[in-house]
Amino acid sequence: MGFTSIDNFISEVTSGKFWRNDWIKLYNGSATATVGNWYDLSQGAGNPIQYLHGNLVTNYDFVTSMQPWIVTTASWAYTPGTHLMTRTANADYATSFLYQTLRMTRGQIYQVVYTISGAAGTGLTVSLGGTAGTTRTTNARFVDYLVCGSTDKNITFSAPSATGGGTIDLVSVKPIYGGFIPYNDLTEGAMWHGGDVTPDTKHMINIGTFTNAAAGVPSILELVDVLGVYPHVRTDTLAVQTLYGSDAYSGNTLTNGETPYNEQVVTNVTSSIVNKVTEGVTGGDTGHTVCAKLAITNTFTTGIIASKAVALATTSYNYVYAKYVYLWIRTNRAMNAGDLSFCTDESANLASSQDVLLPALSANTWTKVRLDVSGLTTTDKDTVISVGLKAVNDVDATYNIYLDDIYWANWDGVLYNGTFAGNAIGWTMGTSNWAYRTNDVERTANADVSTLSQTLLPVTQKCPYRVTFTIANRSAGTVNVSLGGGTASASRSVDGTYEEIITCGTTNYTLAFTPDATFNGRISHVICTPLIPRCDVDTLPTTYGGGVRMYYVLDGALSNGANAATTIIKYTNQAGLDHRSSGATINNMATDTTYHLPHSGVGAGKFGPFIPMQSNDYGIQKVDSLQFSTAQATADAGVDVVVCKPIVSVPITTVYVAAERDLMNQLPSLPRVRDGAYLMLLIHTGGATIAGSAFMGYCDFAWS
Amino acid sequence: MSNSLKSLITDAYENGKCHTSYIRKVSPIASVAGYWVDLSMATGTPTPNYYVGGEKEATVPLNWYKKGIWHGGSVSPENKILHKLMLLGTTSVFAPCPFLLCDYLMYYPLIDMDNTDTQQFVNYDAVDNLSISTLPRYTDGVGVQAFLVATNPYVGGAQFQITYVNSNNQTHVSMITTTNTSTYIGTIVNSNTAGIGKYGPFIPLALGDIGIKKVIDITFFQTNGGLATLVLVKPIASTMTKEATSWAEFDFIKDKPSLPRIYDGAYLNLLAMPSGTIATIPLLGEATFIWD
Repeated sequence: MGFTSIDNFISEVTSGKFWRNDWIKLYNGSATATVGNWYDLSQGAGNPIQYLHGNLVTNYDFVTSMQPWIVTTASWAYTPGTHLMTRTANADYATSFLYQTLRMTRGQIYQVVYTISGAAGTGLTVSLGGTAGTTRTTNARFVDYLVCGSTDKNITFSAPSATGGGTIDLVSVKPIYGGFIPYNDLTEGAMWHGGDVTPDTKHMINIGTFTNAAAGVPSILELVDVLGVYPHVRTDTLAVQTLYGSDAYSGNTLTNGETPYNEQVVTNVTSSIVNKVTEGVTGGDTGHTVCAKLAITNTFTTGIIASKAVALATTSYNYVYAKYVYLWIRTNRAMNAGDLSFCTDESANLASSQDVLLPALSANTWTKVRLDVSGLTTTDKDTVISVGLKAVNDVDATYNIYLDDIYWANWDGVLYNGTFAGNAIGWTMGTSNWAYRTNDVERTANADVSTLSQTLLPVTQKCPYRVTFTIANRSAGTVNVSLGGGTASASRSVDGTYEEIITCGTTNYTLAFTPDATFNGRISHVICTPLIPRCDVDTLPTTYGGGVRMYYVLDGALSNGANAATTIIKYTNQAGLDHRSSGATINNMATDTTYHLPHSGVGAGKFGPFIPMQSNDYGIQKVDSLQFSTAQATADAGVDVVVCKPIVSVPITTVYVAAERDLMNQLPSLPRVRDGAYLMLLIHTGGATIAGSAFMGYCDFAWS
Repeated sequence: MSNSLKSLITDAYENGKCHTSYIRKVSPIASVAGYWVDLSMATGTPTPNYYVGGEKEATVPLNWYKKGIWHGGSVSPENKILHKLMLLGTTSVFAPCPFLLCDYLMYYPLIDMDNTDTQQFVNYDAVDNLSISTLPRYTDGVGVQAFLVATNPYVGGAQFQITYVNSNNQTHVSMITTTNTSTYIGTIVNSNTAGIGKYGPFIPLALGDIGIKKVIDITFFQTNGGLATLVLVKPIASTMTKEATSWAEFDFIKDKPSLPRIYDGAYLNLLAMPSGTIATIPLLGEATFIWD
């Protein structure tokens, strides 16, 4: 509950519930900082150490040593004076590797960036989980897009022959197109604040900052709790980029239910938009007052019911990777499985559509059905222009269909093969009483309560995740799900699809289904996706995300095209309303400087450090999409979209003059610092701060 | 542990559980703007600290605490805290100026900064099978930081790193740090002004490390010139002067509520980051400690 009195504060602090952190961070941007702009110091060297947002590689620039990289022969050697790893040509090439085990998802595509100097002979090759990239024989920074293979979860550098060699530096591996990565206090680059204190409550008590860089002042330091990042949103495209990593279940909008299905006129079908209250069909997608209605007469038989024009190639850049479509639908009569199909087409009016059958629907009930579209080829999904419904069977009735928003998601979150598509590869089934059946696994009652699990997942401990799964054919017993060895979900004993929000524990990186001895039933359709941490997930969906802000920063892994485009960024607010717009037009500054928040600066449409939100919004549950008005010429360039909670701001007025704030008496606020908080600094430069300028300081934390 | 503000103040000022030390440090040696200096080596009160000890040997001088800022002796089982700290920089080089009050724990003297071999520190007496010295306080290493201070003139501009055992008993290597070119004794050579690989006042540690238990070795990658001592300290409190001839006064219960704990045996002294040479410039101060 925090401090109850000054006496309580004195008692707790003098009993040791206190931590002082001394820090130093360098502004190391690729150019001198511009007056009036904001910069992210996460990438800056110092104490804590530098970090590239979203990088799955630890110690990406070998800055202190080669830890935790591993070499298998002495042909790879670390040079402390230059912070570089070099392979010297040697006949041991077949067994000579430089590698690091990452927490990745097998089957997912990642952007791999690295720099080679001193390339020799046949050069070097990078691989990801056994998937090899292009062999490089020249000196440059290289980018490979690799699907994590099944061999292991390593990033590995090797030489293709005895003559191959070279020096490796600046290695990054990031999920592409914005999969959300939550941060905690053990994430690389976090400022340490004393560890977990629950059930106590931790507060920041004092902060002091100073600089010896005359060009570094006046400036403002903003201490934030970085909640996580959507890494590498491309700047070389003007298409909408959906940031689906946050929540694959609610997913990304394919089309909404607020516009009619009027691409074509279909006899015996009337398409309209209706108010849910007036129509008596409240429910469906959260917060939408209207939905699409299709009124069908009993003379209608089969075929296209309705369709609407969309432009997914530009409005949903990544739909080509869609694995699932989530469709909010309601009918005023029960429908059998296969009576209806969902259709997409790259021709107008569903002229040659790809169709997926809908499951059975109960009468007068909004249902969010999940459709597996992974079987459609990418060439059938890359330029979709028409979506709609077909009647497969003639139900010989007059009935209504209501459609709300339709979403899509491209994967099973952090899992591999969550749908058990044709096998159970990727899963560990504890003993013989778990068995693969047909697109699911089945457990028979057994005294052995071993788990069904996946290990070494790319999950962040202490952070919340949404796990969805389906139980079918259950005849006895219960099953629950847990992550990281943390607190398990409620035990489930009824057939159905469940959404469980659980916090990843600190024991491991494993998702596990744990049955009781009597559980008999099937598990299928498992998805596990991260939620934004440390913003009251227990209040979902009403106020979760309150106080969360967002910004984006030029990705330090690559040079960036100077992006003077405007930006449209959509997000889901603290009340769960999705596709909210930024509160103003955002004009990016033309910049190629790492660390820079390009939406900040001086002039119209510049905002910093945070992107303004729509009227009445005060928080963010997830960032939905981002779109630049123009594409930059620099291939592979990008920004990282960061979500954070501001903690405290401190202005530094003068070189050598410490800016000190007592947050108990002088500015009474006692900012809360949650367990797992990733504390880091943003800086607003009032001077032309040169690269290498140091900002030092301390933070005091206490808890009760 | 103190139960209340009233008991703390009553014990301190009615029952005599307090001590005020007076500080007057005047460095005879010059310094350079923006580089941290170790005022323990300056003359005055308390007496200068010369980092006497065996070559590269972990050293904790006997009764070292008596030679630092005196804080009132041992009070265990009671707890002692820093209550107030006043500083006066008598000229503009000391005002504005940030200061760090540190508990000096242990040091490794006589490091040859011209030697580009890895120089092993002596933490263990292999002959008698004994540890030499270990951290006398903060024994788990949590929060303990390191700096390298010049004990002889040097040239600077070299890179170095240290290998250390962190608070989790893991052996790690620090970030590589570029030394400054101050050349002056008493300057913290790992502190620096703007530039890549330039930090201060402490040597940046490896990923995730929050303290040092002991230091294994030091390696210079170029010749730097001079001799130095590697010092392990626990930062206690920060303060700063803002205007020459104007006292900076801080109450660590009221102004910067942190009640910095002072352990029995603590050797207290100050680091500073002046804006020019501090040679012959007096720094005056008072430090009040209380316990209950």
